[in-house]
Amino acid sequence: MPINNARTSKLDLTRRQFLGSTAAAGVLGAVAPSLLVRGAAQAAVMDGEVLSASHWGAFRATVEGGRWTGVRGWENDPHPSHQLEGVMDSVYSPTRIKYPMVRRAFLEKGPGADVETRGADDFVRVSWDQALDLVVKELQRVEETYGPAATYAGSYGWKSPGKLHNCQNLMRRMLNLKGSFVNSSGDYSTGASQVIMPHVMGTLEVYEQQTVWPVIVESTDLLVFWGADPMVTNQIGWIIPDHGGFAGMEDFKATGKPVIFIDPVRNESCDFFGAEWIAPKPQTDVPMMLGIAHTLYTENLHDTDFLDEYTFGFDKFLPYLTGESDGTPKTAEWAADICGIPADTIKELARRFADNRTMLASGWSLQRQHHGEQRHWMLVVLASMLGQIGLPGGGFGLSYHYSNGGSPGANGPVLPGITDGGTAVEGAAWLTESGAASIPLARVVDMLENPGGEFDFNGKRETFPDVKMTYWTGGNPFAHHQDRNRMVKAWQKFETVIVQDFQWTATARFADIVLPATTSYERNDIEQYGDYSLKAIIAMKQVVEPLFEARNDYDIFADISERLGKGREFTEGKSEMDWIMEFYGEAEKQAQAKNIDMPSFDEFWETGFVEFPVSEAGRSFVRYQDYREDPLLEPLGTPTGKIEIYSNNIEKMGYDDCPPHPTWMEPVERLDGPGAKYPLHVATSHPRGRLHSQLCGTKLRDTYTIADREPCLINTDDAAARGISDGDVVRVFNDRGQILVGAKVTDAIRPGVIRVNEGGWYDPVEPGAPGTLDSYGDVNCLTVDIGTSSLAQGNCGHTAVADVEKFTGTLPPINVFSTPKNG
Amino acid sequence: MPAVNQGDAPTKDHAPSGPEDLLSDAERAFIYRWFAALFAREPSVEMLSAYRSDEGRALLNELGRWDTLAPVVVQIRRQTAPSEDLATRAMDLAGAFSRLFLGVAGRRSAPPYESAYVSDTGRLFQEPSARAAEFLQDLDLKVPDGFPEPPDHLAVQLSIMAELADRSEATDESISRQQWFLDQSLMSWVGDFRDDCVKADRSGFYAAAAESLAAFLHEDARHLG
Repeated sequence: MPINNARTSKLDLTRRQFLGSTAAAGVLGAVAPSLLVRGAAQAAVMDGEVLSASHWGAFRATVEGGRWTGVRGWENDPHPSHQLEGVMDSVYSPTRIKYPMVRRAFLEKGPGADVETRGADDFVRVSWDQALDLVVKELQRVEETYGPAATYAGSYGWKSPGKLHNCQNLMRRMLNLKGSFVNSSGDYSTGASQVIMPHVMGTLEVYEQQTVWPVIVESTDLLVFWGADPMVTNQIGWIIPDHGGFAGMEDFKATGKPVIFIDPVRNESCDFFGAEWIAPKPQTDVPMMLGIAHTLYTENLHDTDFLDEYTFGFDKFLPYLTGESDGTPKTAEWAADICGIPADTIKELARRFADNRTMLASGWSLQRQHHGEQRHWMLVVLASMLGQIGLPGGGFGLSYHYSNGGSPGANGPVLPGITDGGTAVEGAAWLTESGAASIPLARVVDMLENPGGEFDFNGKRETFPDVKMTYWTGGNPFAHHQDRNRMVKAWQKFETVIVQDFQWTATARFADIVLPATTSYERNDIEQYGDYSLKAIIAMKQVVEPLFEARNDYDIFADISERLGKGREFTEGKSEMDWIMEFYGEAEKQAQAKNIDMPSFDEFWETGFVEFPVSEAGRSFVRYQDYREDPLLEPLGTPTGKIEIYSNNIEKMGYDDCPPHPTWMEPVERLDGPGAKYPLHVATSHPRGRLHSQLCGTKLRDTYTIADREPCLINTDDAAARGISDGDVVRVFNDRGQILVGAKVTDAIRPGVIRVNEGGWYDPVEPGAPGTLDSYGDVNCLTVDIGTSSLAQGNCGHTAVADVEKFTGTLPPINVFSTPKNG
Repeated sequence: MPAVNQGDAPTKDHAPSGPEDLLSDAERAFIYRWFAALFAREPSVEMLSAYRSDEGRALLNELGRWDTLAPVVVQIRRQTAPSEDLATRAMDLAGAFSRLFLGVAGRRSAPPYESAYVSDTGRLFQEPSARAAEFLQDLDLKVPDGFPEPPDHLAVQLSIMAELADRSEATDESISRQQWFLDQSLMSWVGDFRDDCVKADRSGFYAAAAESLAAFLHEDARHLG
């Protein structure tokens, strides 16, 4: 330490005296209380390997001295995902929410204060007690002041799996005890299809077992993937994926039978199969399908017997197909003009489809577009004309790319889980009905902008509630919702935004009260393995102690309920392990009824899993075989009991944006469409290295970023025309927003289309400022936020046109990841 | 050069210290502990008030006499000046602390953990936290439940140095142990951490604190060497 020689010895003496003095010790105690305490930490830390599970698969975690140090896929998983490394990262990320936090203006001035500063304002740490008191005060204030329909708890998103720590059910369980709330219906994945399909097929279709892979391998001659990238998307599952789809695809590839990918991008799966690639203009699938259908009809390749016996309304559709009703025959030539695929190719496809046992496997991108309902409907019509529905290896499938549809199933028990107290809806676990009101979830911004406004939804005319607060858990709407800039502004209507999560998502940054939850790996749970196969039950054991002040969702909501005077009702007096044992017990009862042996709970918990053998029925399942064999005894759940090519119910609704049979309608904007304001379509496909936005904050980013940003595929010619080279930072822009991304120049994308995967973390250069540049590449800054139609009101996340230019300005830093130096 | 001129901008230049300026081990421990507290958590209103008291002023006067500590002392004086509303200042500092150290501001932050800087993944709870845990065990110390942070948190590592300094003896073993821990657990990353604070801190307070800390560590390393 330097001493100023000019100082007097008196000062020096003072120093010596002061720092050693009682006064100094006293003030040090006040400004710097001692951090450490005597006594070594207890040695009861976890060590060894722990079996747990996630959306990315089951895995064994290596734990050393209480630290999670390694991960490997479960030995019974045929195709573990490379993303498991990122799961570890997410737990130990510097962007974990560590403590309960409150936005400063909210804390100082109360609800609704300075809402325009959300996303930019400071956050201040508070104690758990303070935070929960504040939460309860807000829940009560909003209910008392504005009534039960003022708290929006539609809270959608890919919450972690686990039958107990289901944060969304737990939240609504608490809210049902409190009073009521506004719920949501549907999801962002299949918003259009899951509403139209019940009219057409009598089921949700998108979340159901497919004709299984062994049958496909055996019987399918021609496998067509339409707008799907199954090698990428099957990595993940809504519960614990069994990755059976990979085994199926590998087996099919080994047969050498032809595979066709219809997609604007020659995607990873297309390369895996070495498949034929046909790249229509995005959003023009309906004309292309109509062109194929017209060819089938005019060349008499369609199956009239099947249409007669198993479908309703082909006769009413036919005049549209032939042009008798509107003067436009939907010929291959007509289609070619719109979709950009030569008429000969379209006709050839029709002939090949008809000549072979053909499986039309569609992804969901097709229906996340304006008028998205029409595409899967038209696909069903096409499959009906081919007449192979219900035959081994033929027909159509809407879930080969999702959660390993087609993975052969076991005849095992079904685990129950914690309920929200509402009424469950058949078909999908998260489609429950409870709450004072409900909106189709993708209309959340419409609701905020237009309280009291009326909207159509699946035959009903309803009114948007006037919501004042929201509680969001297990989701990141600032990733999955469209038209980010519009949303940021609309969000300001909320007086209070509560977000409960484990990391600082963009949504958390735009909140008022932020509560730190544990990850799945800091608590115990139980879950099934194989979304469709249900091949095993896995003990999702705690890997590490809760980090920082994170608490389990169950405990947080139990505490809130306790403060509301409903603690006992919430917990029913049960602990975490009590619930888990109860769920297991219910499965044991079912197993008993089926004469299946299950180990005792203790044995199961010790082993970590119980498997159920794939059954003969599971190995040979053919979707709609029963219906085909006996349409009278096994009718579909539609009004006519048949496949509805024409829907009288939809006709009665009288929607001009969803006519009663599949129809081509121009979307609000498309590549080369009438009045298209920008020259490029933006494809927003699911990424390979994350689950939507989950794990974007991890080292997996090293596997895909370009210039530290989301990659943007651009065709060689489009790049050359703009002076863009591989690796350049480019700005993609339209009237709704602008993002910076890294150019990947390639011929694996058709001209006129660029691709930026959905789920890149929103990183506004000026949070809250209208139209601000996004520095990392959240493609939802560019997409349109309108309903697919009056019928489903699904999202249109694949509808966007834009332009791109080489970015020559000063690069703004990327703020959204806590990446230390050189990271 | 005079180290304490109230209102002076923090300086990055540190005059070399001569052998006559050696701090006692008790003083070193004092300063390490003081730094640990600055980075452990946001200052409360009570803490800021304590700085405003006569004893607090005396403490700042003492600490401020050293060039290395001057930048942060100047900041504390500013924040606790008689005209300041301490509740507001505490809020300001809490906001700055959250942005920098609690993950709120994402990349534009400075995670106060050795693991974040020395592991290639940027993950927390890596080998440095195990090393620090062992060190604590050896010293028969632990991080209390009320501070649920990993052992390689900057404040814990500084507290370990305080403890080592406190227990220091004039033996080669004692000195090399301190040297080793300082090198391994602090010098290896605090420079980068300081750079991040300087880049990201809007308040100026933590940038100054990190500058002072890095300079102090540097001098202490020389002092031990």
